[in-house]
Amino acid sequence: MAQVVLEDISCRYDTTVALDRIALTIPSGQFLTLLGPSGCGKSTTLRVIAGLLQPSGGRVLFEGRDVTSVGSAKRNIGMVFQSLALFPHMTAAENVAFGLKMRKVDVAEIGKRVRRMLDVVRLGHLADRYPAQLSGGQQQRVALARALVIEPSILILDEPFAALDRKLREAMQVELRQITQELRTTSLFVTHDQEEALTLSDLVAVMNNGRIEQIGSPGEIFRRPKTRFVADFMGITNFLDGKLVGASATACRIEAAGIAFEAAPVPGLSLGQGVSVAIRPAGIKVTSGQPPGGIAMPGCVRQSNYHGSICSYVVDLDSGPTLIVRESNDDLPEHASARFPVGARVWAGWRREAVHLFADQ
Amino acid sequence: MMARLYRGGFDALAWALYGFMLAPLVCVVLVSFNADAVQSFPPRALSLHWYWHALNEPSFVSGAVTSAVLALCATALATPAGVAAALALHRSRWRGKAALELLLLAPLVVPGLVIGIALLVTLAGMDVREAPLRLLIGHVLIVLPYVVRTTLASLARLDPALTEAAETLGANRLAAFLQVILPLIRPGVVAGMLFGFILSFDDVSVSLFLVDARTVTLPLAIMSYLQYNFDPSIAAISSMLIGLTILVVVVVERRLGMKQLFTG
Amino acid sequence: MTKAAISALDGRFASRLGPVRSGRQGVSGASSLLLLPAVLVVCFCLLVPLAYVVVLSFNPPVTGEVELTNELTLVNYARLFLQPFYSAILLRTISVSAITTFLCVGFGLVLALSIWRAPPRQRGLRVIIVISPLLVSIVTRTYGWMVVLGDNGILNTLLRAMGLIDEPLHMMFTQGAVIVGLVHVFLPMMVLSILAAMDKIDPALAQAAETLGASSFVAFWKITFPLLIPGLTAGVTIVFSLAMSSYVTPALMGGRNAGMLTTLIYQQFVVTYNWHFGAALVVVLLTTSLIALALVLLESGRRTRAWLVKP
Ligand SMILES: Nc1ncnc2c1ncn2[C@@H]1O[C@H](COP(=O)(O)OP(=O)(O)O)[C@@H](O)[C@H]1O
Ligand SMILES: [Mg+2]
Repeated sequence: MAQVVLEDISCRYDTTVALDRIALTIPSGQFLTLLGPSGCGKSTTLRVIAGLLQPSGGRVLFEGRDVTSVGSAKRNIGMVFQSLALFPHMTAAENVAFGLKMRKVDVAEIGKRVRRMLDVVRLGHLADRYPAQLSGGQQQRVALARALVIEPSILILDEPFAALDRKLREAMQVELRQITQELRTTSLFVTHDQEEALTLSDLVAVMNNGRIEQIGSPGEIFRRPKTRFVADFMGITNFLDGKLVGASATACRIEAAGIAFEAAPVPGLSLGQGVSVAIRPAGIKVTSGQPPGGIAMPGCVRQSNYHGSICSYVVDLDSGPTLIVRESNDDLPEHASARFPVGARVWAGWRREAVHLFADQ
Repeated sequence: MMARLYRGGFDALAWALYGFMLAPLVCVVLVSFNADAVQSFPPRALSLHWYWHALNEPSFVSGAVTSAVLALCATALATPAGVAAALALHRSRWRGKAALELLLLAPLVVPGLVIGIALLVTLAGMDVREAPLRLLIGHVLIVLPYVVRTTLASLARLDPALTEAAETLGANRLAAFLQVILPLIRPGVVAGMLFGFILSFDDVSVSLFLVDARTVTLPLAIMSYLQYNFDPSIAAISSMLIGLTILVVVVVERRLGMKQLFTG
Repeated sequence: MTKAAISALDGRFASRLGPVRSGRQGVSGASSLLLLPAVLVVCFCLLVPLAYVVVLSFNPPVTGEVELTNELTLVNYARLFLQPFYSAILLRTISVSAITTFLCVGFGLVLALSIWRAPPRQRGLRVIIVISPLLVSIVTRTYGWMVVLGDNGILNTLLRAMGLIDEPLHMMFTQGAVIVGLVHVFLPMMVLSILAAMDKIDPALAQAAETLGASSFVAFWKITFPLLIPGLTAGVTIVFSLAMSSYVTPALMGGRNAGMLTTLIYQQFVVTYNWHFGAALVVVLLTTSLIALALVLLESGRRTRAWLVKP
């Protein structure tokens, strides 16, 4: 359980820059998730922390100690690999015991700790099975036990659940969260699935192109994305091009899609500057008439899709842009599958809080 | 109708070819049990007489010892070198890798006869004329590429994260190799060793130019016996070799087959 | 050197080499140590001797002399190409090898297809039957053919017993016998090469063709066969060059008039001690194989360039 700090880490493969001056602090005992699209440098970051890759610049600190040039074997890392990398010729128990054997822990102690850890991951009864004789979820738990039994300074997991089906994945997420909280392990988790990141983490760091775009609690990341990329990745799919036309201490005024409206103030924007206006699909309300007050624009329903507990509409605004809207089906009449049919004339309106502004690059 | 005919003709041809592949081996075994000195078919009486005869032929006995010792030594020398080289090749990412791999597999491409002659000539030029030494060098060249090839193939099948997993768990490179990698590639290494051993034991073309009057390998002893005699003791010794090979293959298949369960 | 210069250098190397695996700083050193024994063996026991033979073939022939001299000459090659006796042997070697290769391609396709189409449980047995000769010494295999094809051999005995012939057919010690022996020796390699290529083919392809209306014969020629070209190429090059350099089969099964380049080479080194001429023969043997290999590779490259994706 240690605080882990990355200072200005850069990393190159031949010509591609995989990491561009990454700075990151994982507080002791916290669960941090690296979230980003495939190829953005998540695995590379993990490998630098694990000591499997030497960065071309910067430092790695464990509990304030510089470990940049310390080999992986000496860092006391618990790592769960994307492929799991279970040793196929060793039983579950032997896999879990491996790290302790390497640390020359005495045999009786190894037996005790392995049994305890296998119980923690609820695999006590399968200790003598080979990996090939275990199911995907069980293999996952062996890998987790193997990484945790050595009481690592930090637990590192590289998209461990990517290959599991949805149901198993959700079960494993709950279990992982529970175990790491129980053991108070500093954990670094990697995923490209935003839902998984929000569910599991104390902190989320969103990565893009070898940089960290934003770090914060799941709530912060979801509600207050700092960049257009983060907003996009968090599922905000509506972007309008606009212009800042007025600003005060409590609000700013924007012109976009043919109308002017207010949004929360954003520091650092200057008058007349081009902005991207991001509107959360769940923050938009579709009504048949013009709603009283608030911001609303007329348009026409192009698509109407039923997804079970929610509905989604694609609305072509009369002023040009298209909006995607999601709304709950809670107050939908029993046999209806949408409130509005394709072709219906509607108004799309939103509250001030649903709008995020980003300066154009 | 056409399809039927085509199919039937195809099957008949295929079975004829299977027969063709087996014919000489089966005939050798049949003849070896024949009691007569002249070949007759079908045998008029069965006997193990020719086996006794073969086992008492001094050139066969000394040839078998020579070949066995030679194949063992060659395999013992080539295996560590081949495994080490395969490991280094597998790990390295630099440009010369493909060329080096080609170099190490080159003895497979160069005809055995040419290898034998080249060694004969060069060593004679250096005034080295000891047959055992020449033979050993030649046979190391026979075994080496098979060990390299099968080891490389087994390494390629491994998850590259396995070594890293061992490292993060605190293993140094030697421990990671001995405890994780070696057990997993062992079937491949053993297969390469055995194949190399069999090829070395059976080799004619490399050895042809490297033997001398005192040091003769078994296949060459059989060959020179064959040039002056044509009695079934050749069939007997050949049958024994066939039996031995089958035994080795079956045992290995059994033992390694079990292990491969975990590596698959 | 100043600190800045050092770090600049560092940066340059880092960018060229990419990240160095930690704990493996000595990676190149350790790797080359591991490679050293094997590379030394191949260099000094194969490459150097091959070069020695090549140089020797350009030295003037002196019986019993094996040391290299500075005097270079083409007499050894002239003797080979200008004396009809020798060039006839070269031509015969090439034609026998070509016929062997051709037969191996045809039979190899039949066997490989029959293995491929076999039910899974029979497949292993069929493969073992086909490759079994590989595990038996070539002397044994050749002896087996002598038993089958000899004047008093099994085939003649059978034919006589069936009343088809009165006098034994003289099959041994002919060119035909050599070809039969060679086909038997090399067919397993051809089948293995073709099977390796077949393993990469999606079996659904031929079925797709048949659902599109192709007969199974057409499906084979139009779909499967072109995809087998890489495997056939490998097989053809292996079989041709091995056939060119086979010694045991022509020596034991060929008659006086069926001598091949290899038997001639054997004479030079073991009987007449004319090593320089022998060396020239070896060089010609290797070059011919290489030329054939190049031709086959070119032709196969031309046919597959468009679709074959290099790994
Ligand atoms: N071994 C490698 N050689 C060259 N480039 C690599 C290598 N590994 C990763 N990269 C590149 O580095 C970037 C980051 O990769 P990675 O950290 O694996 O991404 P992620 O795990 O986020 O999907 C990618 O552009 C990838 O193509
Ligand atoms: Mg990754």
